[in-house]
Amino acid sequence: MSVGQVRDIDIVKLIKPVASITGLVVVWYALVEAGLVGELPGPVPVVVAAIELVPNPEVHASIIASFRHIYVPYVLAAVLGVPLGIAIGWNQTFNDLVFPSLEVLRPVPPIAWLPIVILVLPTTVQGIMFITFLGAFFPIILNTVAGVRSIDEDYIRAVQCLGGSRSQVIREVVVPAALPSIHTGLIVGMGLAWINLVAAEMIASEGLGRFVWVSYTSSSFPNILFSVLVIGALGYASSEVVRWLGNQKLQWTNRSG
Amino acid sequence: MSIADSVEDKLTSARSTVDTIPPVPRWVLKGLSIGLFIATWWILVEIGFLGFDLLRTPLETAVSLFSFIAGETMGQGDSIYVHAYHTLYRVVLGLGLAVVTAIPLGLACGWSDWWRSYVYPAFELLRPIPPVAWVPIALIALASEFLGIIWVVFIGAFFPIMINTMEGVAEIDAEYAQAVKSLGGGNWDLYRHVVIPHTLPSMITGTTIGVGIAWIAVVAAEMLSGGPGLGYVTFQSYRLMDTGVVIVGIIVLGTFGAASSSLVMRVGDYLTPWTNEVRE
Amino acid sequence: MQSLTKIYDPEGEHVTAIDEIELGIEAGEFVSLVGPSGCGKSTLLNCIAGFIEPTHGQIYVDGNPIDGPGADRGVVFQENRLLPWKTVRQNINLGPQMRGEIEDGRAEELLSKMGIEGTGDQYPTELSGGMQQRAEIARLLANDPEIMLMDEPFSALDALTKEIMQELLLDIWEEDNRTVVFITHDVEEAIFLADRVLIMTAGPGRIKEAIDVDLERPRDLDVTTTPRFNELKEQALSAIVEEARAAMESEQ
Repeated sequence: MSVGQVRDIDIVKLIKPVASITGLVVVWYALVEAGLVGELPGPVPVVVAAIELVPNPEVHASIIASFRHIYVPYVLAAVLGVPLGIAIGWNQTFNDLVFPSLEVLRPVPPIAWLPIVILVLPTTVQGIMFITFLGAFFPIILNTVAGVRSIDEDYIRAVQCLGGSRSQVIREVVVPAALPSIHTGLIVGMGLAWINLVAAEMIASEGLGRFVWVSYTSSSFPNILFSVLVIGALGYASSEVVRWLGNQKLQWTNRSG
Repeated sequence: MSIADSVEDKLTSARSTVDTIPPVPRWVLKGLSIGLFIATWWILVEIGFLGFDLLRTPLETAVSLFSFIAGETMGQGDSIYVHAYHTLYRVVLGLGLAVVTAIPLGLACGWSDWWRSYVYPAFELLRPIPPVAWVPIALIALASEFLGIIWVVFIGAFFPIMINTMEGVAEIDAEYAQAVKSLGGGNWDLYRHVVIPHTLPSMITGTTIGVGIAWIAVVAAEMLSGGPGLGYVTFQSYRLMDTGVVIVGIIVLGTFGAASSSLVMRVGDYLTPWTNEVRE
Repeated sequence: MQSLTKIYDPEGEHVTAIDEIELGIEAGEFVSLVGPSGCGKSTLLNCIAGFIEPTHGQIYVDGNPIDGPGADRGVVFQENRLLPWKTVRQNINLGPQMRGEIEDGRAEELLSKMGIEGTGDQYPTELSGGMQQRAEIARLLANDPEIMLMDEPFSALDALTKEIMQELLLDIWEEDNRTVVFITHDVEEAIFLADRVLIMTAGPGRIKEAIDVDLERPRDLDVTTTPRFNELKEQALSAIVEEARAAMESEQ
């Protein structure tokens, strides 16, 4: 394959998504021009606002604040959720003792806890971080439990009859076998953490969420759209990073004979 | 393998051969779990650890809950039923719209390369935007607060349903399609007998996830705007430091969330009898 | 090697999977277990391996009752159970690694003994079915177990590979003379490999008949065409067919 051909193929591959997104922008523009969408600004004002806002330090500060709000709780959710999930999936007694309480708490949308959490914890930021933690915690723990439960009995037996002790079995079989599910849980957890983070930030007035809401109340409409798009981009990037990191560690799932 | 090893036996025999805990009936343990939870709650409120003294004890909460069910007004002069009705209405409407639009789109993007290449990327771009972030946009673009909340619920549920449907279509084995064709089926038959049944489980999964996100969306949206609703009254009560109502609000929200997820799963199981485990 | 397995009166859980089996196996003996599906042969193997505790009765190895799975009784499973997240070499070294006694070069030795040199650094999913089974046997041998328990290990292989594996297994067995309990539903395979063929009945499982295979060793595949072999095969088959019929009738 010549170099020229390679480049052609790359460009052709890009055309379709670009065309799609262009289509979206065109539809957006048309809707605004037709007056069908109230006060929604069109693409052009948003681009103009973006150019102004990208170097804006206030925006940067908001972004950094949001990352702080999500980074610590997420890691905590992983560090707590994975071992707990393994314990619940592995040991029936532990499962019966712990899981029912979790199941009672789970259906509550994390954001609904916000008022209580703000009252109970000393600072608002801690409250937000707790909500984010909850958002990530449940998917992580559920996927871990499912991963452990679905391990084929025989793998465990194979290692047992090679003379493995219980902790060796957990280390050599349970954890690696459950890793794909754990990975999925971590990706989903990051997504839900982000969703809950933004909601909490908007209501409690911190970080990027606050920036969006302030733009709304001060009627800076293009800013609203800009910040929302930034939120989307950051959320996407965060999930992809988690996915990519996982794929690096899980090389063995990709190969097939 | 041998005849009658139930899953539970397999778990206990192979995994916990060294766990010589005297067998306690499982329901006792589960009851203990809930009991511990309530006890911890009670103790924390009594001690006043952190800000817990601002909350109500389990007993007070239960009393409040029952009085609301009996008709006492929760906040702003409306009973619990009014608030619940409004929130439920929004969830059902938003979810319904999402199902009706996301499934056909998902099927189209999963089945047709053209749709997948030209239509899907636009959605992919919008997907990472958290539902709540749409609230201000919806408020300025749509005519009323109500429509704004519906939009947020809709968009929250839309993407999981569409993505899961798409993936469900992608999993269809070419051989099923070939089987139907060799029985003399045309394209329409293909959809009816292969694509849709095969994709149903994925649609159900997507809808279950969508329900969960719909509840997050409706609560957050209600907290940010006005009008009766469970999220709204919970937040207002927080502002007024009426923590009894706050806790009750959360409990009711959780109950509805659980009930709706459960409902979706039941409906799903009913629609897909072939996925249920066969017991011999 | 002095290993002796004696089983007395084991049963399965809830539904009686196997009932009142009394069995003695000599050290270095190769025993085949044949029977219709669901007759409990896997349950029996699991009991010997120590994965399941019999509801009544005990299993003794060398006079001592067993207590759970152990490295002295290695198992090869029907479906390949090499850990997919480890390379072939890592799998083979797993047993010694867990005891902290990896011998350099032992993995290589076993790889060439099993005829799969060069696959050490590959992952199990990259290997064919036959190679995977060889690797699994190699993993077993790395642990030097006194007893080898094999649950229909070759049933998923194609006919050609199966024959090769059977001869390979006999070679290994004759070299080290371990005790082997081999489950299969293939009567010819059972007779070809074993010193003694045990025929099990279905629900609840019992040992119906024991056939001593008096064919001379070392054997190769030519022996399957001899008249004596066919006699034994007839004997075994008639016992099994009887059982299968009874099982089908009882289901109706």
